[in-house]
Formats: sequence, C-alpha cells, structure tokens
Amino acid sequence: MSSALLKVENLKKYFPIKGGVFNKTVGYVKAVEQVDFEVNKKETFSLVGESGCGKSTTGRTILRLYEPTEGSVLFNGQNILDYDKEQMRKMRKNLQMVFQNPYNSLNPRMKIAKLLSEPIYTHEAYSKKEVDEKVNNMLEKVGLSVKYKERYAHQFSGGQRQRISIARALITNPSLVVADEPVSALDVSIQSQIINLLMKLQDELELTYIFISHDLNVVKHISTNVGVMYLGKIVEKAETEELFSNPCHPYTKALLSAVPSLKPNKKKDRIILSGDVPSPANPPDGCHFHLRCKYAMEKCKHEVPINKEVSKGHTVACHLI
Amino acid sequence: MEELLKIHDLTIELRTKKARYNLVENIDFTVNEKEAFGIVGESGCGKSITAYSIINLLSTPPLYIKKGSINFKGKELTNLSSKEMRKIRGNEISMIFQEPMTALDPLFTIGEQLKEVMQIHTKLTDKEMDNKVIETLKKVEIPRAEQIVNDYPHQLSGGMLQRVMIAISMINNPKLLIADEPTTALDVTIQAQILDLMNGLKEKFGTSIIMITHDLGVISETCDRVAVFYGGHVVEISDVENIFENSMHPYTLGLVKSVSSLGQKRKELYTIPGVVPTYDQMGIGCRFYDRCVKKMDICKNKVPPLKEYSKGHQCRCWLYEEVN
Repeated sequence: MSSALLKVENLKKYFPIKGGVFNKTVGYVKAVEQVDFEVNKKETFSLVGESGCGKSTTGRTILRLYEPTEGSVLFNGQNILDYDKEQMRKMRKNLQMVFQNPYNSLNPRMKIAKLLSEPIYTHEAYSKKEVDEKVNNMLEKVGLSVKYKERYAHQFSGGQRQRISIARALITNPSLVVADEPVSALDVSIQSQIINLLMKLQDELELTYIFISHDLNVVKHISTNVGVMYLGKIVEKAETEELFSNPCHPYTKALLSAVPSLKPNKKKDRIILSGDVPSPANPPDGCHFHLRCKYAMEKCKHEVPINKEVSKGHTVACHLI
Repeated sequence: MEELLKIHDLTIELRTKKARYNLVENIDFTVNEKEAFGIVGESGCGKSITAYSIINLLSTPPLYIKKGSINFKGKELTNLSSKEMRKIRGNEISMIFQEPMTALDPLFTIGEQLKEVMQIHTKLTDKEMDNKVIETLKKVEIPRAEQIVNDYPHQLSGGMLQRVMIAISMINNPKLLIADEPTTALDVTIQAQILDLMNGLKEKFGTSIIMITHDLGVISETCDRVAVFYGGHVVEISDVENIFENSMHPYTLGLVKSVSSLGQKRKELYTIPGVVPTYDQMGIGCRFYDRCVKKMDICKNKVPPLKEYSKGHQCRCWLYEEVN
C-alpha cells in the first residue's frame, strides 16, 4: 500500500563476536537477518517470537538505537538510515519508544515533571508555562493525577511507572511508537489496564505502533498485522485474523498451540516442539527451523526458503508451501 | 481421596523494628494425594511465602510463623527441629524454583548436584547412585543423559535446566512437589514442554503437586483444584472448572474476565480498577475492598470468613454471607 508510514526493507543487524589475543572479530551474532515489513498509519504491527529471536533488536534498529548492518528504513518515504546525527536528532521526536521494564527505564533522580518535560526541551522551544501545561495534559491523558508531578519514579507501582513511560514517549507528539514488551513486567490485572490505555491513546492521537511481545493473546488483541520471528527472520506475516485462523508455518502453528488455554476441560492436540532455539551465532544451514520442525525435508537442510505469498498480505517462508 | 497436606489458620508475620505486618493471614487449604493443587495470585499476594513455610524455608528473621498448623501425613511440620525437617525436605517434600539458572550451583556438575540429594537421604552406593542419576534424567526426557551428567549448568539452556531441577526434586520419589512458578522464566514453546512433562510425572508416580503461578492458563492446563490468593488471604478455593465458569469472589471474576476477553480484536478489556495494595497499606476489612466493584459497608471493617458455599467451593466474601 502506498500509505505506508514505515517501510522496513532487508534490515540486518549483526553483532561482532570479539575474541583471541588481538581482539579480532571471530564471528557474528546474526540477531536480525533480512526483516521486511511495512506499517500503515494508525495501524499496529506486532513482532512476536521467543526470547533471542531478534524482535527487540529489530525494534531498536528501526529507531537507530543500534546502527543497522544493512537495509533501509523508510519513514514517510525517507530513508532515515541516511540521516546524519543532527537530522536524526530532529527526527527522533516523531519516533519514540516505550521500554519493557518500567523499573529501570525511568531516571531515579528525576521528578516526574522533569522526566516528562525533558523531551520537550530537547526538541522544541516552549515557554515554561506552556511546557507545564503540556505535562499536565499528558499526565491526565495517561490516567495519572497532576499532583504526582513532584514525586520520584520509585514512589510509583509498576503499572503507574509504565503510564509515566508512555507519557514520556508521547509528549513530543510522535507518529510512530515502538513498544517493546510494554506489559510483560506487569501483573495480570494491571496488564489489561495498560493495554486499554495504549489502544485508547492510539485512537485519540492517531498513533502507529510497532508492538513487540511474546504473549500471543496480547498480540491478537492489539494488532492489525503480525510478524512471527524465528532466529532473526520473519517466518510468517499476515493480518492478525488471518494469521490466527490460518497459520501456515509449522513454527507459527506450534507457537499458537503452546499458549495455555483457559478451558480446563478442553484437551487440545498440542504440538510440542522438541529442543531449544539454536544460537543465532551459529544458526543451522537452510531453514533455521528445520532442527525442530516435524515436517523437515531434505531440502530444508540446505536451501533457505524464500517468502511466498499464500493469500493477499500473507507471506510464509517455508518449503512446504 | 486422602489428605496429604493440611494447612490450617496459618499466619506469617513480618517483624520490623517499627511494626509487625501479617503477610499472609488465616490460610486454610488441603492438598489431597495424587492431586495437582494450584495457587494463583499476583506478585506480593503471599503465594510464595506460604509455599516456603511448608518446608521451613522462610528467612527467619524477619519472617515468623505467628500461628497455625501445617500437617503433612499426620505430622505437624511447624514444630519440627531443623534436623527433623531436613529429613523431609528434598525427600518427602521437594521444591522446584522459578529461575533454574540461579537455583543450581554453577560450580558443580549436573550429576554431582543430583547425587547430593541422594547422599543425604539414602544409603545407596556410588555406583547405584550413578545409575539412578542417569535413569532419572531419562525420565525427565533429557537427551544424551550420559554426557549431560558431566556438564555444568551454564552449558545447558533454560528449558534443560528446568528439567534438571525437576529431576533433582523427583529423584527421591517425593510425596509432594512444590513448584514455584516453574515456567515463568521460560518461553511458551518450552513452557508447553515442561507442563507436559510435569503432567506426565504426576500420573506416572502419583506425586501431588502444588503449582504456584500467576498465569491462569498454566492453572487450567495442569491443576485439579485451585486456591486464589489476594493480599495475603485465600479468597476462593474450588476445583478448576468452577474457578473459570462459576467464580464467586469479585477478584476471581475480574481476573478471569480480564484474561478471557483478551484476543477479541481491539475490544476494550475488562479491568479491575486500582492497584494491588502493599502489605503496609492493608485495611482492617476485606483486603480487596478498595478495588471491589461490589463493595458494601460491612466489607470495610470486617474480614469475611472463608466458607464453603457449595461442595468443594469455598469463598471469602460478604456478598454470599447475606444470601445465606
């Protein structure tokens, strides 16, 4: 679609492994290998996968918190990877991030008023009064009382801190927010509050989200499109409903069936994967998933599967298709 | 069914220089033989310290058992000396901890750590122990067991380490296994493997399991009966079907409702307002009072009793007291 706000093409991020006497590069951890996707305005694209599959690295690389090894990130048609430092600094007010752990992403020495006004001072020129007003508005939007402004981060509970993190991300009026596991450090009853808040703010402020999570139920709830990652690659990508009703990749199927169901009587046929996720420093040849896949064929051991479109907008990287 | 463990009126107190707080209060539940009993609740609700108190792993001071009894097969555990307790711990009752990476000793091989449990509790020869180690590792479906006994914990993945933990806890054929969030640190596909394994072991060896978790999904997959904890109280006990279908306590209702509405596309989720109170913010009445949608005047000042309202279904709420 032409209205894509963000288009990620062929994104790669390799981390060098140093070793030996001269600290030479002896290999690479291929954290992100060829990731392509696009997000339309006001939509939510979710990246889902197990730990170590590269979903957080992808999120950070898009914002250039890590310098990508290769690829392009088109934001409103402009490749932000070509930007120099100053251009990027100006760009950052449009691209914000909410981190996973609200316990260590807020500066313990700053009062909430300072935490929230700092992004405004960095990016815009406003008078003190205007800034104050903005902070008050934002606090109200995320459901916190204005009187909390003079408190420090440690005086809040996890859920409240995550609200502060969200407020800090949204105060510069960004169009794209990367939310990296924003609810996984929270208790169950607080999780749903934060999810509701994120959805409400998205409608109000016309935000676009990249939502990173390992919790499939949450992903199903919040996103318009989903990409399933395995060892640095998106193995399946589709609209949320399509993906959950018609998963095609064996890994997606296993992932979906591994989610514990809430119906105690229903004993479903669970696909139990054997083994663990291989190390991204030394990924298997061919299809990365073939060691754990029960449909693995001879071909899978040698040949890397390419993305094939099974229906409109639904792509799968598997030799079975 | 026979009762294996009976906890009655257990209260655990935190003593600080300034004040004393009851972290858990009047805990009452029984675990039957060959049963998987779930304890579910949010962080800080007292589920872990209740479990620790069973095998006397509370850090005293500052935590003390103020009153109550813990009865295991007719034996009162709260009165045992630490020497007597040591005979039960790891032998008849054993425990699996949340983080397998930190629960194992990095300086000893897997084999040595498994053998240690037997050296303390059995009189087997070295050779017999070696055989039993490999046999047990195979029971928990660890591939290449013969080589893995010589590995150190850092050489194994999280899922493998959790299997080793299960092997350590199962090696003396315990009557009761306490699993404290055994899958929380693991990925979903690995979690499915471990839950599957634990279900199998329960059936094969007839071990009772106390499964402590915050995940209602894990409860529904593994448990027969459940106790719901909130703010240091047991608020509801029931078999697993009724917890999901006929929950009585407003907290359980809210929890089930908020979790099960997930996945319906972009519908606003049901939420329980407010936050979990910490132990120093507890009122004198029902501990759920501040967040309850059905609160009444009586709830503020008086703790409701835990009562059985239908067979096997207990609840601690004034709402039902009036009806009766």
